[in-house]
Amino acid sequence: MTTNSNIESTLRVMVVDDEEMVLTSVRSFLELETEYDIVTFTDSEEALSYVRVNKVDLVISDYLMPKMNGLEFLAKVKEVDPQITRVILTGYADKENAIKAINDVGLFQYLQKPWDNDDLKIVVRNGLEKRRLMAELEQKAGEIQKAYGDLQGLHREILKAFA
Amino acid sequence: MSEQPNITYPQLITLYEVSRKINSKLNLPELLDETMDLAIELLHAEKGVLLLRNKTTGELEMKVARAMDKSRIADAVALVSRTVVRKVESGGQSLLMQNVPDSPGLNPNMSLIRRKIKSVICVPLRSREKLVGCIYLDTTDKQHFFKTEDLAFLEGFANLAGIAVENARNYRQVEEVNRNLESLVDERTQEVQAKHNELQSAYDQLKDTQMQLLRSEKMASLGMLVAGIAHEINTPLGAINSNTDTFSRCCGKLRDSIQDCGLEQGANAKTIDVLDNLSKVNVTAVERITKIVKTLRNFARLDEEDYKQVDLHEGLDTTLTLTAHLSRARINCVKKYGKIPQLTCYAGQLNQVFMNILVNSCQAIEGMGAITIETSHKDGAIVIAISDTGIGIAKENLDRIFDPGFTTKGVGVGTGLGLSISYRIVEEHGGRIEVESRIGKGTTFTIYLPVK
Ligand SMILES: Nc1ncnc2c1ncn2[C@@H]1O[C@H](COP(=O)(O)OP(=O)(O)O)[C@@H](O)[C@H]1O
Ligand SMILES: [Mg+2]
Repeated sequence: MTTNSNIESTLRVMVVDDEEMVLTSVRSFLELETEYDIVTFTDSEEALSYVRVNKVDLVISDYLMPKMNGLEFLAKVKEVDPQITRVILTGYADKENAIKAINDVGLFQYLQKPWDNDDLKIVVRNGLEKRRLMAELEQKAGEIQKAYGDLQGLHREILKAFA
Repeated sequence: MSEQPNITYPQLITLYEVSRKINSKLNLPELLDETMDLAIELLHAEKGVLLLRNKTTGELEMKVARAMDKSRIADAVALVSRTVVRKVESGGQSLLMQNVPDSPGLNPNMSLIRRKIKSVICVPLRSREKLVGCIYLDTTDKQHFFKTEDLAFLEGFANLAGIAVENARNYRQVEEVNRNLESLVDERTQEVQAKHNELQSAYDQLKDTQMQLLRSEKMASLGMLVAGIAHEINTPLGAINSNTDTFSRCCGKLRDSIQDCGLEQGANAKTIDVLDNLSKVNVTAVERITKIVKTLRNFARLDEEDYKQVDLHEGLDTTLTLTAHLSRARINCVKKYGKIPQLTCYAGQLNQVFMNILVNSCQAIEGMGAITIETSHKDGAIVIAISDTGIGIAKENLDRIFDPGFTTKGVGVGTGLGLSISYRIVEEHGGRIEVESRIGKGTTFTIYLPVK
């Protein structure tokens, strides 16, 4: 795998495709146009191992790959961390299947080969934004939960004091 | 009553004459007339009757009755003594009554007596020992009566006549067999001809089906090949497409940074311009490849679209608008739309068919011309006929125009795929395309689409 050395807060995008040339193209474009940290894999299993130990915010996966197809791979990614935004990159022939599976796997978007760079940028940006909002939401929910817990504790103490 | 034959020499000569005469007749009625006339003449009888056994009823039937003057006697039945005939028939012996009125023990009611017959003679006719008939002669002449030598003579005569009758009958049979044979041969010839025609049309049909099968087969395998190619091209195409865009962006960034750094522009700017220009060419090139892949995909039916109910006239109109740039000012488009029902179909695909045919028509017209689109609803099918006044299609090419890759147009103009794609699409709609063309006059493509 290849990665940019970056500070921890940088958003990380993972691209998986069995074709090296696609990876190079996507990486080159995203690195030129964005500040994200890009990691690329030709092997879906290696990619999965990476996700297990590293923070990844968005995954773009090819559909037709050896070992497992893109949907299977993204389903496994979801198991590891449901918060990661998942995008599939399909050829024409697999479009139908991909669209059908979007709901099953909970995909954020699908991109079609040959993809448009501007579309790719927008999808990635929106996907990450969604990821950020979701994380924020979760954090807020956690805070509320905690506040609620504190309140309950307080309530119990008050009751005890007056008992 | 009958005597031993006792034939005189002159009688023998006469018999020889008789034999010569009657054997020259092969036609049975003629033979019988001749025989009777001879017998009457030779025996100086007043009238004679010849009876022959009917093969089906077994009865002796009167075949001919003649008078002395060689005329036919019409109602001769009453003129033969049945008693005499029956006697000859049952006994197989000749009978002679020289003097009827003087014969003893005759029934006065007998026809012989009533008709005042003076003398009567009757001899059997034989063929192969079997009695096949008899010759009956009588006379009312008081001065004349038949004699014993007459009987002997008549018996000899009857023998010859029997053989002659047999011959004539055989001849007739042979003739009949021949005739039957001839008509049988005629019949068989006709049957064979009919069978041949049947076979020919069956063969033609088979050839047709085979052609069609071959065509579908070719299309199917081509479709698979094309699907594979489209898929394979897609990935590298995606990379090139993206890279070309990234290239342009890089050029832009480089130009900006050169400006920002206030570097000397000259050579660097020129290099960037070259990159930029090439990048633009790449964009066009990629667009072209993308379009080809799209066509191929369409052909291989990779992009499924809705199967829906549409008015084909709308599709035709849209297509005409799209091809307007080819026909503008030069070609007169005539619409003869009939009443047609809506059709449930892949509308986009059918539009492509119209498009392919219309583009071909436009390309076939050199200079001024006309294209006519006629629609109708016939025998449960929508019929769309697109005619042009173009150059026409050579006879030897008519069978090949639907073959994938067949084109008579120059490189870059024709792909030879238009009609094969159209053929396939129409076939998948359960319809067919027919073509009719005359060199120098024009071409008509007729599309039949069944309405379910
Ligand atoms: N309307 C027409 N008039 C004359 N020739 C025609 C017409 N339509 C088709 N053809 C002949 O059939 C060939 C195949 O047509 P098509 O499959 O559309 O391929 P293309 O147009 O690319 O050559 C053409 O090259 C041409 O020779
Ligand atoms: Mg054509």
